[in-house]
Amino acid sequence: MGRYVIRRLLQLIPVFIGTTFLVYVLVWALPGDPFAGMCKSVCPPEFRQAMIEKYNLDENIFVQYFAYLGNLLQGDFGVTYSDREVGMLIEDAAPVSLQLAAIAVGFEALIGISAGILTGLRGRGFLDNLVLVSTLVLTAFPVFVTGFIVQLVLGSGLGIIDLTVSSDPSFGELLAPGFVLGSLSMAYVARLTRTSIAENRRADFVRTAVAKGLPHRRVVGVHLLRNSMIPVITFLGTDLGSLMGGAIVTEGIFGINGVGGLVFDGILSKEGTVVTGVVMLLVIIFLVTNLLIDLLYAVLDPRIRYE
Amino acid sequence: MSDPTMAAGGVATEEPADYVTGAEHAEGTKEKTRSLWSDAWHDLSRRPLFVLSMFVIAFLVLVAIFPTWFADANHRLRDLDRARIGPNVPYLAVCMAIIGSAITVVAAILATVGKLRDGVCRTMAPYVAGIGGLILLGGGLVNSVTLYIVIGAVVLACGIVSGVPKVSQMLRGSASTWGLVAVLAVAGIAGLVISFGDLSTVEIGAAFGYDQQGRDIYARVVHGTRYTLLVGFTATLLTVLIGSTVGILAGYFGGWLDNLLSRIGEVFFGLPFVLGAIIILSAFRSAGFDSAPAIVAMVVLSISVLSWPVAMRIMRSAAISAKQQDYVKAARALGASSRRIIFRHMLPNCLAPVLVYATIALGAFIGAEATLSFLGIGLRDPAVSWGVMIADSRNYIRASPLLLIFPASFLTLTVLVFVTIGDAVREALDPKLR
Repeated sequence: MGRYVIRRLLQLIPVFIGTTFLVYVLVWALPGDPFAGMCKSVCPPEFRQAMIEKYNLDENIFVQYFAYLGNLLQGDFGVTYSDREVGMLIEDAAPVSLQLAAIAVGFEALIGISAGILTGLRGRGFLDNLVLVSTLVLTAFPVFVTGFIVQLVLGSGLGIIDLTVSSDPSFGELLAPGFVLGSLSMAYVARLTRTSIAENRRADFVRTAVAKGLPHRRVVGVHLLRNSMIPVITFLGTDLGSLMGGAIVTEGIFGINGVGGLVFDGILSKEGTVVTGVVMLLVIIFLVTNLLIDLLYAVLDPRIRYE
Repeated sequence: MSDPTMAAGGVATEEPADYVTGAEHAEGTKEKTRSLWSDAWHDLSRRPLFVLSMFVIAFLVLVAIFPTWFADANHRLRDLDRARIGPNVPYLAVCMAIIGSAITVVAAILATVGKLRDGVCRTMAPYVAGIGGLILLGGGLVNSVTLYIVIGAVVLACGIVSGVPKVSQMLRGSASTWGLVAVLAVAGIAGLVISFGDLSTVEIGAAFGYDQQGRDIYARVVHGTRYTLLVGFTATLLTVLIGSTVGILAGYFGGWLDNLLSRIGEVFFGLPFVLGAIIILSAFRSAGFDSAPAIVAMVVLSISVLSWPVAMRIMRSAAISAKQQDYVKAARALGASSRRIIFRHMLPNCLAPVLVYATIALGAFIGAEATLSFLGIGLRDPAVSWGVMIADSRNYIRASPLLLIFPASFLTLTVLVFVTIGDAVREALDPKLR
């Protein structure tokens, strides 16, 4: 186990450097003046010089990148053009995004898994078709359409929610955006659970459990469900990581000041340090959650051994 | 997004198609050997939802190629005097009634054919009738025309009655089926006659109204089809091409090449999709591409660059399992070159899982294009798409939600159709689910 973890961690390094370098190049090295929007008309040369020195812009891109990476590893995310700490900005935005992603995953788990269990146990029939069709329909709605519909119906139609959340949103305010954010994966979770249960229902260990004379509830609850949940839990885990950064659209619609909004504004205003900082963080989260999920497999399923 | 790795495993181990054993030769060709592909096609062509979706796509492609056949209004003409004028409801109702009645007539024809010759026509007829009935009913409801509502309800009832398995079993082979066919035919023709009669009483044009700049929404929806589909198809094609080339090379040669290619794939896979696309698009946007083809190419490129690792992983795992099959070993023992093995032996057998991914991805990419356009960095004028229209309407959704609803429903319908096809293809090609 320990050697496997170390090997995986070593494999992460080139991937991490590759991804972040790619982002760095795209943000900094492409044509266009990074300071174009900063001064009223033309920037004074001494200001330009100071900026270029500050961000190492006269060096070649590799030196720039590794200088940035060095700072990053010491916990320094750099500063924006208006001299605000990027680390602070992320710190302000992250809790809301995390909360939102957690609510989304909660909805996915609650609705997705129960729909999946219901249809997986029953097998083919009306309910099964209903869930299959509704998951298809759910995946056909792009997130922003779902967002607008929820906003229109619950917000301006029924008046249950406000159209946008307040600057420091409470748990209740985040419920509707969280539902919207999780709607797509919810369909997927339902299908995954259904397939997994339907497959395991015919597995040997279930047959053995039934043959032993265990009560139905125990067969389903302990033997069947616990084994069927492995792929579902791993999916939910990776989703938590990807939803944190993938919430740009949802955050935009509901006016939530989270990580997604931060990075989107950063891209629009060409704040390179903000964009690279947030993306680096998201890539780290993504890679580490993937690793954790792989390890979790071994814990949940004793048949898997990493050696 | 639906993770296609689920669909990947195990499909590639089917027998090759053009391979006949001695025993089968001796028997003669009475029983035709069926490959995975013809088996899948056999299965698919009997699924009413699949056939129906294919027809919808064929229609959408037709609209995309010849938009002027369907909308003669100029979709670029701005006239602020008519900004955000609502839809022309009477005209819309009549149009929906005509379309619904025509579909009902088609349903009657299908039911007749299905009655005479057993086949997909019979299973499709209830669906078609249901759709026709719904459109008729909708046409009646938007303008509260009682006649349309009645006809629509009758047609819908026919569809439901013949679609419920128990009821249709009872009806089969008896005169009541012909009765249903007759009801459908009469309803359809009556609907056509009435609605064509009404057509002369209403003002023609602008069925969906005008947008915030006074452009005809219907014309824009029709003209937006082209770019929406173009992005979806080309992005899928490019993704599959890059992904399967890299994947089959990695899977076949293995070793350091596999390691290198897999790591490169992971680099792109690690970028969150929306975020990565925004960064790529905004980076190249400052490079200044302004013509419609260039904008489309940028969007397609950024979608494919971020998605090919998925196709690659699927192809790679299929190639690895195919490599160990006897027919590959035999080919190698006979001295076939790597190129011949890859193209003649492995590719046909590894294609199924990638194809499944491609059909599902197509719908997802259309949605992705809309999302990017919605964020203001995807398509933009002069390339109009449904995503662009939705993005334009976002500031007005409270005052006039219809600006949003028309393009959004066409977008959702299109994605739905593609996802349905993907789902059907997966079930047909994945033996595990049979």
